[in-house]
Amino acid sequence: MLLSKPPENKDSPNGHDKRKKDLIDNLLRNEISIDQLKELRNTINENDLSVIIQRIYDLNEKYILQLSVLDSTLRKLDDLKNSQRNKRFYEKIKNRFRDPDDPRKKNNKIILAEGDSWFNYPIILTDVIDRIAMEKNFAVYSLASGGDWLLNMLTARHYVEELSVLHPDVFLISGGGNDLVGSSRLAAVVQPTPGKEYAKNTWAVELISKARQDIIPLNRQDFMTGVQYLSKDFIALLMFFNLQYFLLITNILKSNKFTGIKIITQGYDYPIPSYYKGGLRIWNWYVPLIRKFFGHGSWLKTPLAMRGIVDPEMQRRILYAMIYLFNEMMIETGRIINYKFPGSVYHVDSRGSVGLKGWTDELHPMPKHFLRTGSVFVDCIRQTNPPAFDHVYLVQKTHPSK
Amino acid sequence: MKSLILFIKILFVLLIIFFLIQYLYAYFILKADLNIFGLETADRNDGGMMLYQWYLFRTNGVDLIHYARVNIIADFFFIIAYVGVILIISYALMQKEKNPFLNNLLRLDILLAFIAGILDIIENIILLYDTGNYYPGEYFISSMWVSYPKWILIIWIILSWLISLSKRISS
Repeated sequence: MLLSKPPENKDSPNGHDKRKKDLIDNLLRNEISIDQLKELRNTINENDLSVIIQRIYDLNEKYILQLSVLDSTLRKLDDLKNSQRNKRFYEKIKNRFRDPDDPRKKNNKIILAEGDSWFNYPIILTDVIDRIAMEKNFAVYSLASGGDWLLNMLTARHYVEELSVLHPDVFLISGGGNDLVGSSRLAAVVQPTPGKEYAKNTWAVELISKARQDIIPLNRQDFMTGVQYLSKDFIALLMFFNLQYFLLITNILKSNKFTGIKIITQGYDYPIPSYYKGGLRIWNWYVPLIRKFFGHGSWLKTPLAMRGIVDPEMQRRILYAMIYLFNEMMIETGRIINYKFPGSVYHVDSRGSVGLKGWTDELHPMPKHFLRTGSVFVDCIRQTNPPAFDHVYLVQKTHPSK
Repeated sequence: MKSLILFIKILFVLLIIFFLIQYLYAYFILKADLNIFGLETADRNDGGMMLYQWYLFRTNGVDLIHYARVNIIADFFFIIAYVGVILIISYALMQKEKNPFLNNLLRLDILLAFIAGILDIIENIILLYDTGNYYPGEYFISSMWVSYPKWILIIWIILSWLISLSKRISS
C-alpha cells in the first residue's frame, strides 16, 4: 500500500507532497484511517481541497470557479438584500455602535455572516440572518449568497478581507448544502443499491458512536437504512467538509488578529425530497409560488430518481442519514478546534426543528422556523442560555416545536 | 433593482401630487367636486346621478367627465406605484418583525397588495366604460363590488403595519 512507504521521504518537499497525495487518494477511495485524516487535516490547503472536490464530482477546474455563479436575477436579488443589510450595518457604525467608552454599548456585537440560502434567501422569506439582524445591539455585515458553495466561500476569501476590516465579535458561517445538492450533485454521492461504505469508514462510524443520542435522538432504523445508499463519494465529501471547515476556522483563529472572536456554524434539518407543489394556500401563499418557480424537486427528488431511488420513504431516510452525519461532522469539527482554541466555536443544530410540514421547498424552512433558528443564534451569541451540550445549541430543544 | 425601487417611489409621489392638483383645480378653479372615490363606491343610482351632474357641468366646452377619465387613466400608473410601495413597506416591516404570526401577516400583505391592484384595475376598466359611454339615462355599471373589497384589503394592510409598528415601539 502506498502509505506504508518509508517515512524518510515524508519530510522532503517532494516526499511531503507525495504523502499528502496518498492521503488524498485514500480519502477519495474511502480507505483513510482516523489518524491519516488527522494528518491530512494538519497539512491541507485550499488547492488540495479544490483537487478533492474536482475528483469527487468529476468537475473541471474552470467549472469549480463558477460554482457560486447563480442565475443573474437571483444574484442581483442576493446582492440587493446584502446591500440593504450592509447599509443598516454602516448606519449603526456611524452612530458609534462600537464605542469602548460607552458602558451602554458593551453588549453591542459586530457580526460577520458568510453562508448560503439559509443566511440569504433573497425573496419573500425571512431568513436566519434577517432574524439576527433584528436585534438592536447587533450590527450584521452579510456576505451570504443563496447559491454559494462552501468551497467557493473558501476560495473567494471575501470573508478574509471583511474580517480584517470589521474585526467582528462574531463570525457566522453556513455552508455545505449547495456543495451537496447544487447542480444535481446529490446524484453523484448516492448509490442505487445498498452498500457498506459508511461501515468501512471508522471516522464516520465514530461520529455516530460519539453522537449525543440522548439529546438528539437517532432513529436507528431510518439511519441504518438510509446510510447504506450513501456512496464512498459522500463519505469523502463529508471528510472534505470537515477539512474545509477546519481549515477555514483555524486560519482565522491562528492568525491571532481576532482575539475573542466567536465562530458559529450552522447545521440543517432533515429535508424531505418532494415534487408536491403545495396546493392552494392563503396564509402560506408563497409556498406554491416558490415551489413552482424556484427548483422544488430538482435538488433532492430528481437526483435521487436519476439513480433509481424512487421510493419516497427511502429517499427521506437517505437525506436523514446525510443530515445526521453532516451535523455530527460539524460538531466534531468544532470539538477538534475548541480543543486547540477553547470556547471559540459553537454550532447551532437545527435537526428535528422543522419537521415534515415546515418546509417552504425541499431545502428551505418556512419563515417561522428560520425565525426560530435565528433566535437560537441570538441566544448563542449572547449566551443567555447555556449550550445543550459541549458547544452545541439546539433549535429543537431551546424552542420545542409546537 | 435599486433603480426600480427608486422609480416606484418617485412615481408614487408624483402621482399623489398630480391627483391633489387635479382635485384642487376642480374644487377651486372649476368650483366642482370631482369625487372619484364617491364614483368608485357608488351604486347604480348614485353613480348615474354623479355622472349626470358631471355631464352637465361644462367649462370651455369640456365636461367634468373628461377630468374624471384623465384621473382614471392616471390611476393605472398609480396602481403600479402604490402596489410597489406597499410591497416595499410590507417587506421592510416584515424583515424587522420577530413575532412569527405578525411576520407572516406582513408577508400576506404582499399577496393582498397584488389582489388590491388587480381589483383596482377591474374597477378602472368599469369606470372607463361608464365614463366613456355615458349619456343621460344610460345604464351605469357600479364598480362598488370590486372597490369595497379593494379598500378593505388596503385598510387591512395598513392596520397590520400599525400593529407591527406599535408592537415594536412599545417593546
